Amino acid sequence: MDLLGNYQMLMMLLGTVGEIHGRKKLQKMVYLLQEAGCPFKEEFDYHLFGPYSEELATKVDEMKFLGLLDEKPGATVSGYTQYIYSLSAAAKQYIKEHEDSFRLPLHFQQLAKELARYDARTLELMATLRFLKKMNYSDAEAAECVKRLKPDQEYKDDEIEKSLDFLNRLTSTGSREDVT
Amino acid sequence: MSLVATKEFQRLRRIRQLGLSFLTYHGAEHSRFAHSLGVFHLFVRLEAELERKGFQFSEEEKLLGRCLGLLHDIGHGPLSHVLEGIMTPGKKHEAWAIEIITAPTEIRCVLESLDPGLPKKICQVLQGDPQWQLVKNIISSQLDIDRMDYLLRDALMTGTSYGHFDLTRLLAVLELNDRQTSLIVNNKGLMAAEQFVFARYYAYWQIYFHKTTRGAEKILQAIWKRARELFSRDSLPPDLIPVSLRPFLAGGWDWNHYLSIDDSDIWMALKIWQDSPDPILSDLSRRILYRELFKPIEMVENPSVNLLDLPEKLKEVVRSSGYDPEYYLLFDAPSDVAYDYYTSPEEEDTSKPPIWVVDKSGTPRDITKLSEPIHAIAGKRKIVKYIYVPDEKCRREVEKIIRK
Repeated sequence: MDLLGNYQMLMMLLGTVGEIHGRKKLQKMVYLLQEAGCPFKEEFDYHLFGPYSEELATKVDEMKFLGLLDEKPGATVSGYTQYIYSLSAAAKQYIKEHEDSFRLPLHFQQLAKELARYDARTLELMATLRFLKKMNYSDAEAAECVKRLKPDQEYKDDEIEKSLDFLNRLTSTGSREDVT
Repeated sequence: MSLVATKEFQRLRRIRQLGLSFLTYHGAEHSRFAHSLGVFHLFVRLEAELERKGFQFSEEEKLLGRCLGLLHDIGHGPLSHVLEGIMTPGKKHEAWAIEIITAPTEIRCVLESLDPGLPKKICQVLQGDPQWQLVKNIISSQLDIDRMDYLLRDALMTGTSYGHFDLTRLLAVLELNDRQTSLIVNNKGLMAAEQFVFARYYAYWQIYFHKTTRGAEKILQAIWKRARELFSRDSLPPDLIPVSLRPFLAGGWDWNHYLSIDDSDIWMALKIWQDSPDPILSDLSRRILYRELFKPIEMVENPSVNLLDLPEKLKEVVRSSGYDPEYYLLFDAPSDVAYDYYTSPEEEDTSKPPIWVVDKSGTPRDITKLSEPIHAIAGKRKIVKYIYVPDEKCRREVEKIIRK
């Protein structure tokens, strides 16, 4: 058994993208990477049609506890302090010394970097749409549903369409179901 | 109800609700069967309570809710969460529930006789389909009847009072939100809700994350790992391969195999394996059978301990006492535990809805904002990490390393 084994995937993700702004963004990035076949093992629940992983949230706190993760206060968003997450110096050093175990396949590295460019709101939209598509909603049904379920988010048609396009590309290159 | 009479449901009598917790609290012998009946019962009670307050479930919702109460845990395997996802990697009890409900089982037969579309609807609820929000949230959310049953049941059977709360009072103060999609607590019910949140908190730290129980569970996981390893190397003699467990050791199982196993298959395996020629398999099996468990060491946040060398140093401690660190150095953390306690949502992430309590102005608010004691326990996650080693000598050496 390994002390750091549980955190390996997260360390690889942070190593690839450098830093992530806010826990919400981290949640959605991990979910979408998982859906694309990246072997994150965290379980996601769908209470309000947005995937959320209590396990992932707890692991972030565990990584802080172990000194693997730095959590620095960033901007204030909607009255909440958003934190910026990055690997600690110790974690970076550890990865350097065990490089072979911490190499994310190239296509996942690229996907992670691409996802990192989106903001949390867009990632949340994508995640919710993905969830609905998995429930066999068509693109049109999912678009209508997401507006109805989250009216306060005021999603626009063009951003929904762009997100659906992205998702279709995401899952055609290697969906969760394809990975054995 | 004839669902209870099905083979698949009767199997739940042979699966302990709390896995190996009986090693810590000897009264914890109750089964998933009892708990499932309990959740069914609570749904019926809640129906009556909400009807009293003017809400009428449709016949379809009633049927769905009651079936879900009974079937929500149908997918559990031996010892419930202990071996979950380990005997059947990638497939936990929720996924098994869906399979059992849709496969040609007695359960599916009964469900279809009640309503041909019922199996599909149940799966929709289990998967979180938006059309069944209310039923889903009643069965599974931060304020759900699943928790209400197991907290009380587990408190009673373990003999701890920490998980206890006033159920009648809590049901009395529940109502529906505006959109009628989930339960919320009315203005007068803040204290009842607080008591429930505390019950969850204490039950977690006293029962579900108890260090002795968790240590034993980790040993059982190590046993399974060893058995699989030996099997894959053809080093497990045929008379030590229980027929019912063979598909799981081999990695080729289906729902029939899964429904054939329960706790007794694991106990039988341990009894056979205690005499295995493999010293690791036999030693670990005996430790569970005769309660000779590992020693726990609690890690503390300690920046002076060099994280980089720690894994190697810990392995060395165990190795130098003659143990294989692959099986004799075990770790546990809250993220490994299937249970959780209430923590308020982080940032503005609405994917994790809080427990809503109506404030004096009639607005539902996050309970963490209305209650200082709840804010204290739910505002931030408490992290505890355990290291488990096989004997006192190793324990002392690990203590020295991590406490310096």
